[in-house]
Amino acid sequence: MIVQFLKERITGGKPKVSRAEVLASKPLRNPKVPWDREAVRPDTPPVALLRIPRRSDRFGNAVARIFKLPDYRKLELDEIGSDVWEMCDGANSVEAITKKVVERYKLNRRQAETSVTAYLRMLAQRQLVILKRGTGTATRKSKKA
Amino acid sequence: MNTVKERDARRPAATKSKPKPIGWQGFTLDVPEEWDLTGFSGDETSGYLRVDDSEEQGAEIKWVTEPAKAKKAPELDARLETYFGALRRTARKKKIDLTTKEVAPPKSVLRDDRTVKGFQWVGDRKAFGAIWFCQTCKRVVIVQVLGHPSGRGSLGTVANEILGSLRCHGDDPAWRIWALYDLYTEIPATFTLVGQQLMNVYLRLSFAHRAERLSVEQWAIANISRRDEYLDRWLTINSKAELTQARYAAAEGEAQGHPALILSGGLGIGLPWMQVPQQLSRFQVPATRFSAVAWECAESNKVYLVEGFRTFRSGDSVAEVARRTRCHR
Repeated sequence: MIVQFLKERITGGKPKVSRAEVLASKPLRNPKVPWDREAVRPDTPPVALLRIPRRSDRFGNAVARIFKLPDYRKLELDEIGSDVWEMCDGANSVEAITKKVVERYKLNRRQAETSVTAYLRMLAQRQLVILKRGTGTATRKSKKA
Repeated sequence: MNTVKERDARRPAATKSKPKPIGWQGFTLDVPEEWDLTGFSGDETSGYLRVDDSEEQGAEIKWVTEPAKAKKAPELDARLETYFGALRRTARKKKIDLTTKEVAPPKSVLRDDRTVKGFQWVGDRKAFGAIWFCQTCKRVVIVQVLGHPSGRGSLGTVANEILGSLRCHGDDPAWRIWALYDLYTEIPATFTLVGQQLMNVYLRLSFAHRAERLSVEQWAIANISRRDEYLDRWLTINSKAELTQARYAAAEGEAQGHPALILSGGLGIGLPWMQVPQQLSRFQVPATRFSAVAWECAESNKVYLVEGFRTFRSGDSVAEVARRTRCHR
């Protein structure tokens, strides 16, 4: 029991997620975050510009009133990040997104997978996407399971 | 003259996907397309290499070079028993049942210059392997292909193909293949690996031979990172190897069928010259001549830079390395 308690303390009580589960999961954009593709500079292709609403609870409103904060802050994604963001529609699995990145940018599969999963983890930590549990048909391992 | 066995062994692994070459410290092997280098240590004399599919199958190579003065060939039985002993100790710690056995080596592994023994073990994973001593490169090599204990995923077939494709020295003793991820190049065998940077979109392998230095750099997603910037300007910002210490003149040329920048010059003014007294103090002829070849390959969406410093006496190998660096298949 103590061991279990310590384990939970160390891992933060989070369940371990296998690589196959991550690849099969389907990222979905936070619907509360409006976004659009805009050309930030005239010589660059349009990128995703996210408008992240500020906290709207009592504390958030108070802070915003004191510091005159805007209702939302802008987050500009880079070109590949914008493509990944656009594919986070709840229909594409992480593996499908990785495959598209590999094809589009001619990246090595492993390099692309590492980049995409790290990027999605960052988006998830900022509550910009959620990862829906997939059906587990994406990888060889899960096919056999 | 090549024997039939050798020719058979050189056939690429007949796996579902097309085989991919891996080259490291003189070893070359063909692995399935989705396998990549995941671990390495040591150098040409002794070291370790791991290549896997990041799921359940992988290959491991361990090697050690026998002393040049050794009169007797190493006892492979004793080496294998030592290896099994190490495996048993690990299994005991993990409280896993381990079964080890010596088996006849796969025919694909046999060569005229090798003394070979085969082995298998089953614990938390299953491994098909071989240990051999190569009389040409004087290395004792332990190689094993690992997978699920049930052997699923045609582990036996995959192991046979990978073990058969593994070569501990190349045909051309003057050149050595270095192949990992999307990078494939050949470097003069006299140069040893002194540094590497293996990042997601950037790979660098740096080599040295006495005072001479040679590096190969590769950047992915060139269309985004370079965009419309002039290649020479972009390289001065992004290169992390010899180019940073050089002053040079640029000319236009060709590499691998692409328009290329041919750079030639010498050590940059200031700090780079500090290494000259150091090289002289080691009784080395200072490497002061710089040359480099850089090109962008649209097919693979990558930028390549082969660069090096050489002495005034030695020939320029940069152009030949660039010629042997494959940017697209």
